[in-house]
Amino acid sequence: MGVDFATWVYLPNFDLFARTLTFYPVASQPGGQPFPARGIFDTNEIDVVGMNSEIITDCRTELDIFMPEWSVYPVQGDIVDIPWEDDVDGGLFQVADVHGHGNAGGELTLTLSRYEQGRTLGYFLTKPQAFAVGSPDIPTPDISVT
Amino acid sequence: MLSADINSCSFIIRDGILDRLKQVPTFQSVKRWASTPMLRVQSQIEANQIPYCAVYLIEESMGPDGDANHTEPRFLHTVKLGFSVIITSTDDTAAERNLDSAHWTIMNLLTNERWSKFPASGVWNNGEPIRIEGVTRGSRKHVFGNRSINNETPLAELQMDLTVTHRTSFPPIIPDTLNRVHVTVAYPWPYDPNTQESFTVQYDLEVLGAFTANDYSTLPPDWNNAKPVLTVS
Repeated sequence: MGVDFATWVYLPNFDLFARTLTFYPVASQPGGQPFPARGIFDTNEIDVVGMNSEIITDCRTELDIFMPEWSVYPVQGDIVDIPWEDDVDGGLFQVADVHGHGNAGGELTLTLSRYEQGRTLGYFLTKPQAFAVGSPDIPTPDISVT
Repeated sequence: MLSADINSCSFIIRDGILDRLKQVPTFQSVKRWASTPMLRVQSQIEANQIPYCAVYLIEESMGPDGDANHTEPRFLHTVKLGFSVIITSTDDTAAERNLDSAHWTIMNLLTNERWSKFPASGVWNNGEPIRIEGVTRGSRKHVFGNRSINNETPLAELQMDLTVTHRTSFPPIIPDTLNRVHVTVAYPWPYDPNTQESFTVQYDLEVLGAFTANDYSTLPPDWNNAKPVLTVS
């Protein structure tokens, strides 16, 4: 007889560790209504290496969900709103990846990307802005005709 | 303004470009400027260090300017300048468009009529601006997050570089000028000191004025200002 991971292992863990969330199935169920759900939220530090080996401090955030509780599984692009709960921060996230299908029976791992409108540059290029470089403070010759 | 007596031409160019970028409206929303990767970039929302913009002096190679063994050391410097612009956006299309805008803004700095000149004080350059001679290559790419793209913050980075060239020369400073020569004449050869008396002639190398040499230890190696000066009197 095989091990029923979903019932024997994952369910008790979800009862203990899962926190509440609101799921917006904007990609998996377009037009569908948001609904409450639960999942095990986990964040670990991760470094992103930039151009000149500069280190960008970031993290890898995952949400484990209990598959028997879901009729339609999340897909990339869905939105998850995890409220502040029990003194633990949450946030608004977009599902960036879905993997570990089943995890030996009953659990899906969602990799989350923080949902941001954007911290971008102030302007897109237009001619007047592009040439407003300012003076590099180099004298140019004056021509005097006498 | 940096001094060419203290900092290298390549450093002055890098610093000048960084200062100019700070004036461009496109980059007014930048939260953190950098010239080295020494400090980590805090990407979490509360840290608020993004947008991030850096201009790096990535590497510099120096080849001979002309024949290497014909004159004082002269170098053609090839300087690789790196531009890193980091933004965040969940919308990858908007992010890419924004990075491309950053790239194009940097490229358009080259349309400024004085883009190649960088003011610098100092005796070394006689107060003249440092000049970029040419731009020999460039490259760019857009990078979204880490290699696995599993980091939480939707990062997007413009990784761009421009390779520029400029020249330097390091002429010698000669404090011991030739003023007098003594020539001893002994004739005929083979010379017999018992039969022929030798004599010595002193040649004074007369000059129209006097050579004066500055204290070598206190001067930067600049040809125009530190070489012996001929004063006509």
